[in-house]
Amino acid sequence: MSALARPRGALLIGLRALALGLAALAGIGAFVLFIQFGQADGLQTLDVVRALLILISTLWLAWGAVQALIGLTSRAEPPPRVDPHARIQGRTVVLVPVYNEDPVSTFSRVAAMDASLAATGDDAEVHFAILSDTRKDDIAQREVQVFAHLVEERDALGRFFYRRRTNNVGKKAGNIEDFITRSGAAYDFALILDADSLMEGETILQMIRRIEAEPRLGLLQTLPKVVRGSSRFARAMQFSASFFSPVFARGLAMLQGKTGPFWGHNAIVRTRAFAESCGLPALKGQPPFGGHVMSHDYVEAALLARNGWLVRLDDDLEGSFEEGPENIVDHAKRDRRWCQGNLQHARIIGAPGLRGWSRFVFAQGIMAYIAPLFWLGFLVASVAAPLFMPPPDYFPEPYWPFPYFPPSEASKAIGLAIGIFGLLLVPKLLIAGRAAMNGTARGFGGGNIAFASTLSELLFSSLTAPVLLAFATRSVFQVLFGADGGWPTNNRGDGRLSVADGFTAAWWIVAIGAAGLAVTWWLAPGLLFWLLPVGLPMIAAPWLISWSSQPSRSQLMLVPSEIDTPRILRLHDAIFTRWENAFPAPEGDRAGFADAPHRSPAHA
Amino acid sequence: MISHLTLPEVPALTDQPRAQRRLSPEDLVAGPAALPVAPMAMPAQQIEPDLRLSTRLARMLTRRPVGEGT
Repeated sequence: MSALARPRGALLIGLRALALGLAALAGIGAFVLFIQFGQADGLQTLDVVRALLILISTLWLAWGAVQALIGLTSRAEPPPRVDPHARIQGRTVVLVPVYNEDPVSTFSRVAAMDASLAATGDDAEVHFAILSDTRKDDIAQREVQVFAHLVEERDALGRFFYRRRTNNVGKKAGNIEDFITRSGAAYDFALILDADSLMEGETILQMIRRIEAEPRLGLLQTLPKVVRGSSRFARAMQFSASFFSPVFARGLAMLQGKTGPFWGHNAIVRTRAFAESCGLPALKGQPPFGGHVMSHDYVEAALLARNGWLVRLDDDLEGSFEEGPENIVDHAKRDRRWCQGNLQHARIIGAPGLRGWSRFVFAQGIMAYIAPLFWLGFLVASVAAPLFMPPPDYFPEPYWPFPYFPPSEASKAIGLAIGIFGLLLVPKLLIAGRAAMNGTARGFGGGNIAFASTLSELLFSSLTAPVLLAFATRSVFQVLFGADGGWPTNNRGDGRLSVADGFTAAWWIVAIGAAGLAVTWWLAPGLLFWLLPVGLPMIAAPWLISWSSQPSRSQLMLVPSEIDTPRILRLHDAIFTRWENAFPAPEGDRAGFADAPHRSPAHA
Repeated sequence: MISHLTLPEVPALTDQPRAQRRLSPEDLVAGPAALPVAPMAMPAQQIEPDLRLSTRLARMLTRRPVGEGT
């Protein structure tokens, strides 16, 4: 193991203190630089407010950069004391919650995972339970038909189960809880998936071996790779998730101690631990802050840790996959739910007995959504500053005949801007550099293509960030003003959007961007140049949304799963194609699966 | 934790001709493919802070961890 791998005790506390200290140092540095810049023409109250806003924003950016640095300086290694060939004793159930999904797509994944498990030759007892919360009777009827086909094809009577709930109490968390209270005692472990999850059989077995080998382990999370992205947006997200995220996740894994993350899927739980720790009551009051816990996964991880169970992210485990949204609008819809769920954690962060790190994780999740508000506040305050600034006094000394020009502190502002851009860019460039040196880049098309992909991703994320942040900011305001976003299913299908679609979704972003630049030109023309990278993408939002939703045929943004398709994906593709012929999509497929129109691998 | 493990009866597949064990999809999900009956208690946890002074005092005096529900 490397020196930094999975630190414990004093070393862990020291590493956390170092990470937080470095982030705080960056924030304080930005604050001091900005105060010095403001002092040049006389320090105003608004300068101090802006300095505080830049402190918080920089601290947040630096926290991400520090995680990447920790990830870069450590290695992913399997935990000790696990025999990778040990005979599995316990019984495991793979839980597949579905909600108005296309059953051909979802159940063919079950068939693929079962086939992958069978191919290992291991005799571990692994069952599958499809937990349907589907509300549409026609889709439910189709689920039953396709399930019968699944059982017959896999010869799985007694191993595969199907249940449809008549009500959706508690959404996904309630669906899992319903299973545990009915059938939990039949299983030692439960592998929780999403409808779009895929896992190699060997990975599933390794997870079972690891949780079986560590009796204190309550939950083991894998780092799922995003696959099958076909649009420009999806491929950029996929590249980012494959190339950058593992390093950030490793940094997180180093800091997790006994209180790792749970992301709601592609994770295995010890059934007894989960049952005794994770019963979630509805929060008092009405949504968005009351009612059922939306982002239940973070809460479940915190409750397991509160009860003394280990929660661990094993980022060395490969063979764990998920799919992502194909366009910015679908991403924003998903983000709306996550935003509401994370802000709802403000009600839970003070729950008794939680570990300090769990509370910190809640705070971090909340901060992920409110951070754009600090940037927004900084921009608004900067544009408005001239209104509150006294006119410059070039003759401060009475009877002195020569004018006094305050010293220019522009270098401080430029230094600050470079520092902030550095926090955003340097971690990704370092990751690209290390990938070229240690050979990881080969899986991304080689060192040159990986580096070009990194630059393209930086450009792409710079263009789309103002649009995504605008959606995120609107979500925060919607939640704060009491609007419940509900829980619509994901649309992960081939989601090409026209410019008109983009305009329908983002006309208000165009209006705010144009108005913002106009007001800046009027009040603070000197700032106009600096605000163009924010304002222009906002004005171009409909075109960006449409352009980024179109299929990508570029050689850039290559990921390993596109160069060498993982076995489980190939298996799923083959089964899906066969089933698609046996169960053709009903007339008007997109209308029939209005909430979940994707028939997934078709576009892969 | 009380466990009542009752897995559904599954006839030995090799003992019967394939045609005989074909069930209608509806019968399948209502019968052998229904979830096993093996209840497990999942008590609701305390996930909101109890800010009442009496609770905080009691907690401080007894030093008993709260919220675990078991």
